[in-house]
Amino acid sequence: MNFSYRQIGICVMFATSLLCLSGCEDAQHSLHEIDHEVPAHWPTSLADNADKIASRIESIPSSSNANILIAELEDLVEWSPEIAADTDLTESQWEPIFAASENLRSQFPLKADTFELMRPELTSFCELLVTSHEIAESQTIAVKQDDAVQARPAANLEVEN
Amino acid sequence: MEVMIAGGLIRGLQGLASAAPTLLIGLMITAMLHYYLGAEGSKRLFGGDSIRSLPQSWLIGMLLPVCSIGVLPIILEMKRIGIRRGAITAFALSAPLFNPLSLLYGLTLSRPIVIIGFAVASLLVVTLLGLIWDRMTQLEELIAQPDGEPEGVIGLRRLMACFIYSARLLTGKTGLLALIAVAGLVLLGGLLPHGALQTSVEQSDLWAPLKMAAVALPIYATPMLTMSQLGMMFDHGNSPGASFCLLLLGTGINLATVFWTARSYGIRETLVWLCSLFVIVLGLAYLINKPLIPPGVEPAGHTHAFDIYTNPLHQGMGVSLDVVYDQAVTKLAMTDKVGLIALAVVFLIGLFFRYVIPNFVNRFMQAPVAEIDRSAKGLNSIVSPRIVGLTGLGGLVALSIVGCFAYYPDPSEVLQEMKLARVEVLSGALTGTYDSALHWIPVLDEWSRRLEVGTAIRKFELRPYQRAQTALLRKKLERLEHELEHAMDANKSSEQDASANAAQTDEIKAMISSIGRTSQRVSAAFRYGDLDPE
Repeated sequence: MNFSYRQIGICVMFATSLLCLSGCEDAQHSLHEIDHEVPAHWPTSLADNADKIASRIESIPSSSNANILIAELEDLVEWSPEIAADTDLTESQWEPIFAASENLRSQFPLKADTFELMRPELTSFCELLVTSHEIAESQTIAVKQDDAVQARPAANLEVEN
Repeated sequence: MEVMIAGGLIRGLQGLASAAPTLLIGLMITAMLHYYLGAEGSKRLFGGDSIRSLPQSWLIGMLLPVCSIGVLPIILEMKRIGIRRGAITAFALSAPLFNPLSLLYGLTLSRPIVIIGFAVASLLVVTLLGLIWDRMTQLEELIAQPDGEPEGVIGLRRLMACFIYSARLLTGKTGLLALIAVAGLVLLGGLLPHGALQTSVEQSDLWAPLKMAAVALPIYATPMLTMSQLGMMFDHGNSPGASFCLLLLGTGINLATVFWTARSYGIRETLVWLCSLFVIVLGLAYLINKPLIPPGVEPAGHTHAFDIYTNPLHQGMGVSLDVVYDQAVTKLAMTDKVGLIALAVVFLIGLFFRYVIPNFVNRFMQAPVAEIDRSAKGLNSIVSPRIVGLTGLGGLVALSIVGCFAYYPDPSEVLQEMKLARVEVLSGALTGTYDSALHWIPVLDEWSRRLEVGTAIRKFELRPYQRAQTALLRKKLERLEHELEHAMDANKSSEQDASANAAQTDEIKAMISSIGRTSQRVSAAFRYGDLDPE
């Protein structure tokens, strides 16, 4: 196979462009030098999620940073199913949150001037999150009690031995 | 310099191992086209000169389980028998993108519409490119080149000839092209430092699809690997346009495809073809970039999907043969090792028949045989080579479908496997044997995806709650992976003080507890079906 100077030139240019590209980023000494970025408005629980949504509903109409708050509000609504999935809600209790979140998401992007039209839906979504949080909390307590009951015979057995 | 050479070598060997099974399948398909369908039958299979040749070639490509290296012997055969360039391009591009296994796997990524959209967009790409390519060659006379081999031989003799033909192909142009394709990985592994592409494809980065397109050409990836990479990209909220570029330009073609096209059709025409491909793919990538951003996924700011193309060794790391052997051979999966050995055996057989007894096939095929009773009925009736060939190809497709059910077992079996993997992860993380935990995290991650596909193909549905729980499990596993890596780095450097160590241990314990709870919910979601566990 004979290669012309032009072909070799193309190969060299290609290799150089790769080197330049790789040079744009520093070599990593560990695969995990870069951590997951957790957004500042990431909620810690369903109740926190509801609080954060409610505070943005109140702030958006009068804020000079309405666009930022709206973007955060959209994030919070979209994250709700994941936050709810990480609780002791059952599937049938989780589904209304997912359905409501999907319904709201279908109406995104929100606009500052038409935001008031969405307020009732967003408020009732907050209420749903608060109610769900209470249910999830009561179920977590029940699960812990069950675990304790199941662990007790084993503990008694150890004491007896 | 040693790190660059060793890293490139490791990536090359890993690429060769992952290409082995589909390269063997590609050789087998080529032999079937050659001995069973023949030139006319193969032309008809790929749609002949009709308008439907492009979508038909795309569809056949989607059904056959080959990668961009496995497709090489087939396109060589397609050119030899005089199939149009457009159809060759459509087949060559679509065959490595999807197969039944990877398509099903792809359905677990983000929303199913994403992967269906990617499949439709790939049809659009191959159709446009095929039309451009065909238009450039309208005056070209397509004549099948004779292979000089006798026809009309049937039975075991033909099967034997098929095998020898495949083996000989491997020692010729096909083998050389496969090495050129793998050289792309050697190049990337040598030139790109460890983890260099981790932050190149963020969804907020306007240049992400362009950057991906720039490095995609030398990439060689199997369809399943690409699907898992797309999965990681969607989980990390990376750019969907960059994912599309990776799929079409990284998985669809490699250095050997471009090299073969240039050798066969000339550099000028290849440049037009390549530029058209890049323009079409980049155009579509920017078109889908915003609409396909998965909802509810916060961008992680990085991805590990492309670590596999960068140097596996860190700068300043000591390089020895043991390190290379450990990375390139010891860490290979059993299936890869078996594939590599099978490829080596076929290669040796091919060398024997190419150089020791080169005329064996002709002599063997021309040897006199007992008169065949062509009027025999029932099981002894003679069927045409085309029917045998089509049955063989249909069998391959059927085998892929059976393979889907074997690769994605029943959810109850998967849950058992997940339980075992989870115990390994959690015990490794708790007892400080982080190496073991880090080995099992990807295994558990992989099983969680198989759980989704296994459920979907058996029950024809995957409920949002099930998807949410498995996605959550994968997210937590990745966070644990990061934490364990940090802990390992801290242990090695001994820079961290006691209080920081204690905080890290507490963090790991909290993660373990959280993964345990999510795992229970995953089991409940998939085990109890429509009923709530209570």
